[in-house]
Amino acid sequence: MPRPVPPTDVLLNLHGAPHQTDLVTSALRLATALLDRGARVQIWVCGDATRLTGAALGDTTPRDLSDPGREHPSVARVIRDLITDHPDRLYWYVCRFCADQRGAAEQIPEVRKRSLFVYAEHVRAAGKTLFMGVC
Amino acid sequence: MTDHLLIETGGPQTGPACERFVGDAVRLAGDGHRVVLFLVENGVTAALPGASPAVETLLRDGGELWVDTFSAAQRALPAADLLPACRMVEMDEVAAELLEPRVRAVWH
Amino acid sequence: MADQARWLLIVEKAYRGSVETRYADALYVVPELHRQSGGCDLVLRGPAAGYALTTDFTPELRIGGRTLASLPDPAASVTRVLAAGVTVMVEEDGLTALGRTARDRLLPGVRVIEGGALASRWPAYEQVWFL
Repeated sequence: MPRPVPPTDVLLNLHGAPHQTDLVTSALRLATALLDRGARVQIWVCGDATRLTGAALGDTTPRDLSDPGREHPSVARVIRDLITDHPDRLYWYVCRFCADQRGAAEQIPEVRKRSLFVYAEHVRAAGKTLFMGVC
Repeated sequence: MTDHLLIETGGPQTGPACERFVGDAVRLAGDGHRVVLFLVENGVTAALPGASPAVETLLRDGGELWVDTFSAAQRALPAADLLPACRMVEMDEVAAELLEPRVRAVWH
Repeated sequence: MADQARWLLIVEKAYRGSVETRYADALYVVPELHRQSGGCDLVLRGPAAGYALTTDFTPELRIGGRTLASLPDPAASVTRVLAAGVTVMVEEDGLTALGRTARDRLLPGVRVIEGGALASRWPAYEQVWFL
């Protein structure tokens, strides 16, 4: 039984790859700003960006060799906390096909994997859609 | 008439792609729509004088030019070195614009 | 540039992510390559010329309720590379493209070279890489 997509004010489609440009940072900044304004937000992630929430990333980054005593939260941890801090206002969807193709099938439990076949339902559930980057 | 928020992330270093996108903004403005061009990430370099002829055309044609404060600072670009007509903005202002029902946003 | 430098590293693609990258920016590996190779020269070209400038940028960002205080800090990275003994050069055309005051804000120790002029010295290096 397909689950209905919760309505949101904005759908951010994050399609560009991490570690190439500041796209991921922009998307997280914009999501933060939208949430600060009380908006409901969904983020649909495709391509290499599906790795941002891969379970394999764990909670912390690898040690900084120049400052080994300092711990840094992984990007997956940053996103996880963003989701859990905004229950019923932020939804993070990961394209199942892209995640499988990138070897990122194992995801943190806070995100939801979705088939591309239901993508248009997410667009229709959003007041506005912004398509950010390309796979 | 539809208000447009056009978001440029690449800047002149991406070659003609940036000029073509800003050209889209010029066309929309010429058609009578309100157009805000928001420069973010490497796109902020398009706000340097002489960097993008299309940006200067857009300003002449009534378009607005917004520049992301964070991205400019990250790229060591002081506001005083950018086109005088540009407005430095925080992401909060972009979020507010995006949430306006009358505004269509396009990311490039 | 140092006579002993064996590898020439050129960084042109700049600003390759912040939240996901954190301290491990494009220059993170350069001091280690310098140590392993017996000497590296680093050239900042095009948009990467901005790495060589002083700025009032605070490498900090709030995402939701969390403030990340370890974003890439290009000027600090260049300073660290210089401290490791790497000769750091910036191409003049890249610098000029970054605005009227860019030249005045160059980090101490960074040398300005003519854009593309170093190509004539490529044969003297064991390795030439765009990093």
